[in-house]
Amino acid sequence: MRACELLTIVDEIIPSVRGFQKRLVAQKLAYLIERLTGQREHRFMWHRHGPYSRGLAREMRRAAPCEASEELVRIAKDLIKRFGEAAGDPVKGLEIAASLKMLMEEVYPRPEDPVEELLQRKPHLSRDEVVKVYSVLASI
Amino acid sequence: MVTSKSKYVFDELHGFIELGPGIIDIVDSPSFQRLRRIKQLAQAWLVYPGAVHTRFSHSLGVMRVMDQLVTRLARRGYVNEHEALVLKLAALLHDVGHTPYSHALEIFFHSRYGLKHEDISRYVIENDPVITDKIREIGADPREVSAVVMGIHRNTTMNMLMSSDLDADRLDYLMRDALHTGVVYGRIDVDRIINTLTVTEDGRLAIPIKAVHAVESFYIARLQMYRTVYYHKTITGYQLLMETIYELISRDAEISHLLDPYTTPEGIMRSVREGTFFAWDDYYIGGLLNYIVAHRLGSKGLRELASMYLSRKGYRAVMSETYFADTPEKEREVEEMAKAMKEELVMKGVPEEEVRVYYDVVPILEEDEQVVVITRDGPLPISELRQSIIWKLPKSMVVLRVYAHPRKVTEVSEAISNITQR
Repeated sequence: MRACELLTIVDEIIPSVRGFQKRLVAQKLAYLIERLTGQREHRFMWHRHGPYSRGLAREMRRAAPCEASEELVRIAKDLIKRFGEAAGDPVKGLEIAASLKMLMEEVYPRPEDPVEELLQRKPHLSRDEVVKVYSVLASI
Repeated sequence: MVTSKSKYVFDELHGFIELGPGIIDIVDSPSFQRLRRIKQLAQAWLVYPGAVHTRFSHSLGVMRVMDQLVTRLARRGYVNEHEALVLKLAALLHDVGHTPYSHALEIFFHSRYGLKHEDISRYVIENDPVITDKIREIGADPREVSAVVMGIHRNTTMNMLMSSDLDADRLDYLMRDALHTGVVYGRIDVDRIINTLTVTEDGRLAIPIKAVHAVESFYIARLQMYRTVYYHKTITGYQLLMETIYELISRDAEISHLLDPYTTPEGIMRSVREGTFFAWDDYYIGGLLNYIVAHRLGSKGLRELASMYLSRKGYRAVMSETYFADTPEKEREVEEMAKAMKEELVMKGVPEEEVRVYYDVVPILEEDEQVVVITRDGPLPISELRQSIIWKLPKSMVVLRVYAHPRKVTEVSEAISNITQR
């Protein structure tokens, strides 16, 4: 999965997001795709925005536009749709899903309640949004 | 059982560093003592003869800096006692898994197995026959310590104290490397940085605007160290030569077993569990080069390169360019040049161990990990602060070099000329 493919996908599916925000969204998407498909291509830290890969950030900065593979587009569209519908907004949905996934599986000490943990950390999110995305994540 | 007394080590940079109860036991462990035998800057001493300081002193230094940081932040209620202990241990042990010859071998393991030294450090912290138990005896959880090293601790501020633009690691190594190389550009006002550092509401590290000059000098010092030390033309040349030698040894059926068990992630992990990890140091690899040359082992090409390394007659830089880039377009342009050069040289049939194309993009500021400045209008990333010279700094430094075996210099120069003139 190349950085340029992720950016192309975000451009196509969520064209309203630009610049630094676009790269942040791409980070969340990359994390979800990698972890949900069992890949460990990039190393992610737990950051105030959620999962963040320094290596991926550097790749994205200098990525030239490219075409994304059909398979990757299919997976990404599915995830963006599911989480976007749950949260009422695709950007928020990806942010919540990626953060919850990392809280549940990688962050240590593991929070007893990842939903509560995320709500404390990101007060701009509503409980309803987070719970709905959590349910979708649990079903995948 | 944990040693109850403290000891003091005199460090050339920080003065006396206290090794508290329990910490001494970790420092005395074979796997930590191993760091005495791994140079911090690997090949830099070939250019700066004084750069022979070790990862041992650096690790103690990072612990000391972290101690100063957490003491300040604890007074302000940002860090509690338990977190302070975990941070101190993470600082002490963050490099415990470093490969010999620092980055030269890390590139080998990363490209083959996706393995980095942080992964090995994590494994050592959680599985070393001595260190792991001592961490528990002190009252910390090894997994929590390794989580900070990996940047996946639940507390994002703790992650940033260990790994961000202005972390304890950088605050030590910049000054230490400057001291030992003699490069004056690397000196920073670390006291002001430590004594003014604070934390924003959302957990980012920040400094008040009155201290911005100290942080500016940090960024500029770091850039200068990149140019004069970390990406020095001759130093990166020897790094590439060591990478090539190691690759050739690993592929040579006659002698590759001499690298065992430290050739695969599984082998390395087994050595940690079995307590033999401590033997894998600069002397092990360096001694292997001596052995290969003295006993005429391996291929002729390998022996030649090993001799070159030991005699300081390494690759020659046929071309060396450094660019400063504000846009990704420049970075891509240089990357395309690097690819074109590699293709041309492959077409000419130059063996890969006789020519190496070196390309790297060095961010001057990490986009989302940079220091935040507390202004009247709220916290602002330093690169967005118009009163700061950081605003005008380029985003990255791009390095492109072509190195050749001394006997291939003319041939490779001609090939490079052909490309650059097109």
